[in-house]
Amino acid sequence: MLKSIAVVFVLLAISTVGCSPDGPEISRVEGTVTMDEKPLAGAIVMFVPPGGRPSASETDSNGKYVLEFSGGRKGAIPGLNRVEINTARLAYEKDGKMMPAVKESVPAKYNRLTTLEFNVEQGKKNVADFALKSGGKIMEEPN
Amino acid sequence: MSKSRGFTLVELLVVIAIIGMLVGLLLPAVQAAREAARRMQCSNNLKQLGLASHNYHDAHKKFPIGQHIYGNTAGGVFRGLGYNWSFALLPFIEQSNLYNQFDNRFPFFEKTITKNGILAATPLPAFNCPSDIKPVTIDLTSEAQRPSATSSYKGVNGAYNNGYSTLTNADAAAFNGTFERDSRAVYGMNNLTDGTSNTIIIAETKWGMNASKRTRTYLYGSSDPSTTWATGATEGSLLNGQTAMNWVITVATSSANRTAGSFHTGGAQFVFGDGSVHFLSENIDHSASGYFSAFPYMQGNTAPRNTMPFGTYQRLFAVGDGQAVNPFD
Repeated sequence: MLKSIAVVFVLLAISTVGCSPDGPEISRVEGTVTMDEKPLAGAIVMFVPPGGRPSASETDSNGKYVLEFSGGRKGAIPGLNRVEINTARLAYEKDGKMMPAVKESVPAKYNRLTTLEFNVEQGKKNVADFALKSGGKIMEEPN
Repeated sequence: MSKSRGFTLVELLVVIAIIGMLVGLLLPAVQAAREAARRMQCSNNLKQLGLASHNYHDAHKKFPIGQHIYGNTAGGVFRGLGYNWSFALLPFIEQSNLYNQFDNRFPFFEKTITKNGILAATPLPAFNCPSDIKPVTIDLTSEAQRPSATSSYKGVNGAYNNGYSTLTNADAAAFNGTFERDSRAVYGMNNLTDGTSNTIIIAETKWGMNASKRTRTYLYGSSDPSTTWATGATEGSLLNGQTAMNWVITVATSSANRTAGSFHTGGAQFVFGDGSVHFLSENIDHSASGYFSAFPYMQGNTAPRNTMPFGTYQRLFAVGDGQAVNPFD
């Protein structure tokens, strides 16, 4: 009798094996983006790894972000990531009303011609803060 | 005294527990089987579109034009009629009747003189991925109250976003997708110099990648709003490889509208130039470099051209990037 109960538990244990998220190993990345020492809200932060899928996130009203990878996983691929930050938005429809387009306010040296980089370290929680300075050429992504 | 021939209570409970466990194992498997069936149906749709584009190519010696531009230029002058590649393929997927009913001297949504506007709301199962949750029809952004049938599939118009109206013929290298706008390029198989089996021509899309639900794909054609280019005609029919599949940012940028994606877990399906259909993982090697770094000889950027950062994903999208493709699936 005890044996059959033991068998049930062993089968249960086996059935839960293999339930872990797939995809490459990523590390959690979060931080704050400021422009001239003021938090930059509604900016898209994109981390582009040397190979593999980029991660991105949008900053909240305090300029804080947590990078998203895909399928609900949060983080970025470890390694030296190129970082792009932009604020441009297209016109879009919200609750039946047309919202106006938002022009780019971040200089091109932080997005199109970015010089920002961040080394995402494996197996730890990375904090990537970016203190941007206004001024310099701004490049719109035209349509 | 005869021995009892029934089961004891514990034996019964164990049997029930085992049955319960087996059902627990089976139920998720049933859900997975349903999704697998939907994916297979979708893959079959894509295969038919691949064959249809080959048949189109046999008849016309070129692939169809990606989209006949229909837009409002600054002076209020409309040009083109808005028809797209999937309209051009209709006679090759046994939809000649529908194709012939359109009066293609007029825009695809024209309603007062022709029946086009009514026909354009006809949904076709061949362009519907069963996993996609898109509505059957949505109103054209440019023409309110003109419902237009939606599709789950977009043509490929380049490795990077090249929808810019500022581009000229000098930027021809940017027009490297099999399905371009009519003012840009028309390609045949001879242009797929990387090899037809290394070039994506049609990709899946996903409803709702953009929070404003603008991630729409029109079946018969697409047009620009009359006030702005921003929600462009191009992205109603075509997409590119600039942004990663199943993009995570849902705010209103051009990225989500022009990006491949699907509700099949972990990637999306693509038709290649040889007519084959492949499921690519969303973790495929990716450069995601913006437009300016991809085409450094443009826009006053004088960095050498051989620094073009094409990841495997971008190389598959471009018709003639001349770079070898690593194994991708």
